[in-house]
Amino acid sequence: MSEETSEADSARKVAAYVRPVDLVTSALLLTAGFVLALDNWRIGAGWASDGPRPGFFPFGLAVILMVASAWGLFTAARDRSAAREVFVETESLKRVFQVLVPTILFVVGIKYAGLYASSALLIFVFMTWLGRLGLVSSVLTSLGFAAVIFWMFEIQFRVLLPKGPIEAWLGF
Amino acid sequence: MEALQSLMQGFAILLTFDKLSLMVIGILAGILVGVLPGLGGPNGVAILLPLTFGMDPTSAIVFLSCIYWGALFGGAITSILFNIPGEAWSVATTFDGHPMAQNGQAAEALTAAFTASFFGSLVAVLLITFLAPSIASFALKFGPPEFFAVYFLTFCTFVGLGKEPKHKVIVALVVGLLFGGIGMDTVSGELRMTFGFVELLKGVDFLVAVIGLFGISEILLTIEQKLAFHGKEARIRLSTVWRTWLSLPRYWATLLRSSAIGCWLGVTPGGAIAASFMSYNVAKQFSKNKDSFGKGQIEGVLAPETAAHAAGTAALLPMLALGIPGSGTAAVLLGGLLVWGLQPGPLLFVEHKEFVWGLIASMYLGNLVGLVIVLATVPLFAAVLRVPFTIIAPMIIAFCAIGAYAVENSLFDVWVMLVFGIVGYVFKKLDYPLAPMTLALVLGDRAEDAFRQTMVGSYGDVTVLFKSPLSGTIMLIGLLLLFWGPLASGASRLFGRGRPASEPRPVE
Repeated sequence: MSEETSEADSARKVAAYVRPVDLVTSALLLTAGFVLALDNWRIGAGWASDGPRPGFFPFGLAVILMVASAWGLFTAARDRSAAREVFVETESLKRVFQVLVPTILFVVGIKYAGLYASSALLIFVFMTWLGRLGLVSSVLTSLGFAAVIFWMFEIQFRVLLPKGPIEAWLGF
Repeated sequence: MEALQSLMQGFAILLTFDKLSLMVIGILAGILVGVLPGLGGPNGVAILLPLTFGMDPTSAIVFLSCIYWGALFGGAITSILFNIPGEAWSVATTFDGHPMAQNGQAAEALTAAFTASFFGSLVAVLLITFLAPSIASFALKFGPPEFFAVYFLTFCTFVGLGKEPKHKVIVALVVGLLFGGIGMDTVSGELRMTFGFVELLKGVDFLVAVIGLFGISEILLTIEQKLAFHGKEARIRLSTVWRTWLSLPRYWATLLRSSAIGCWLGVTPGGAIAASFMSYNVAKQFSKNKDSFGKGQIEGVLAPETAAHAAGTAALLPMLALGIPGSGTAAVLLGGLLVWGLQPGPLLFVEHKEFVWGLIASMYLGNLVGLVIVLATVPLFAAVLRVPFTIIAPMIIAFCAIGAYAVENSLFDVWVMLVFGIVGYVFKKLDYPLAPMTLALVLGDRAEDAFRQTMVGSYGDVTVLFKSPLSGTIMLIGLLLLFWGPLASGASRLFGRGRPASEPRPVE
């Protein structure tokens, strides 16, 4: 898929090719395997009289992870055909961050403003900033959504979600 | 027949106003989930799972499974009208479904797709009704070694039959198993892999991981491609429905063949996706008018839809009978069982009869109701796709956060979900399969427990796994599958003179 796009439009800027990302991922997995193996060795990865000790199973898994990701590292390093394969274009990566950053702020917001207010804000930001939609419709949609999920979760299905100062002010 | 009697009791449980309205809501929500890009079976069910926390288990499973049926139906709408598969298993439906819509036969294609789906799942439900109880009662004889062997077989199937590079399947499986092992060890009370985080004491919840892996990562992947939807209009008239239905008996062979493929692949953890492609190709092979495939041949819609739905339904068979989910969504439903305080496995059929048979009865009824609803509401859901993604995406994100939070009422889990979302995005782009990872996450604990119980029983003798005929056979099949690739190429080298079917050499 990414190959086609890169050939069709070579003028596009590429943020990352598949090969380096593959290499880094394998390296990270290898490191993770090593750290986990150490940690499980620490709590005992051998056999006690009553069977395997707590670290035995995860230690084995961590070793398998190390072997498999080392193999991945090896094949990724050898496979030169993937070097030109596009992992993500700059333009796409920008869009991904335009979604990811507000989402992170949204999760931070849940803690301080509660889930409902934070969701409304997230939708408002998406609609006005990314979608370039009208201000009035954006306000109405975001507030309407918050009201509907509030009704659905808190009242109808009795699932309590984090609430902030606004709900407290409204008496919930 | 005992099964029929129990089934009737199941229907009796279902036929109350509350349960029926839950079914309708579930199906509508499911179709919506299936239609929206970036939401699918597993994460749709996972996100809406918190809605069921206040329900009794039977209502909850009826509601959730109806979401699943709805999602299976919904995938066909976008494939046919918009040429965008809402689900991976409806990719094959686009091959002929969209050409049909372009030829002005959208209503026929949709009717055929929905009816085929209904047929496929009906066959699979019949299979479940008559097979699941006997498998479950057989599995009651299973001890820890047998269960470990079955888990082992499940994992090996992924490695042996997965299309992705083997080491990536293994990494996905092992990462899933390791995540499952985080937290307090149930046997010794020792803390494992928590690295001092108090929040990790209880482990990483499987549902939180699924919501991140499938929900958030899908949003990121979808937004990357800047989707714009240009679809065909469709309104289904009753006369079209009749006409299409009258033409269907002609394709009985395709329908039956595809159902069989679907049931087979659904039970083994290969899933609906493989089933839909395979049955499309098989239908093409057997068809008299091979050349018209891809240009709007109704068989090309019937085959993948029948198989996908049959597989999606059959995936619940091992989940009910053995506690081993046959698909990602079945794995989420299994996670649901744990939340509602039910222990999955063969004992379900004994201890929670009304739950199991209520679920099975709801498969019949849910699919029938689903067929009617989906035929009636196509224009409505086609309109949903015209809503800009910048409105839908934040709503899905909000629902993901709610789903992740509600599992344990923990904000930390929302962060965990986000991390899994990013991991899922990278993994998906690098061809690491996510299905084995989710399955490993949900089965990891149980596989380890089974292993340790076996070892306690045998005083640490691993060969005990191969000593009992039952677990020995299953273990052997597992090992055979694990090394299927090298074995097959070795065999072809030995017997068939031809070139071994090994990996292609890298280009110099």
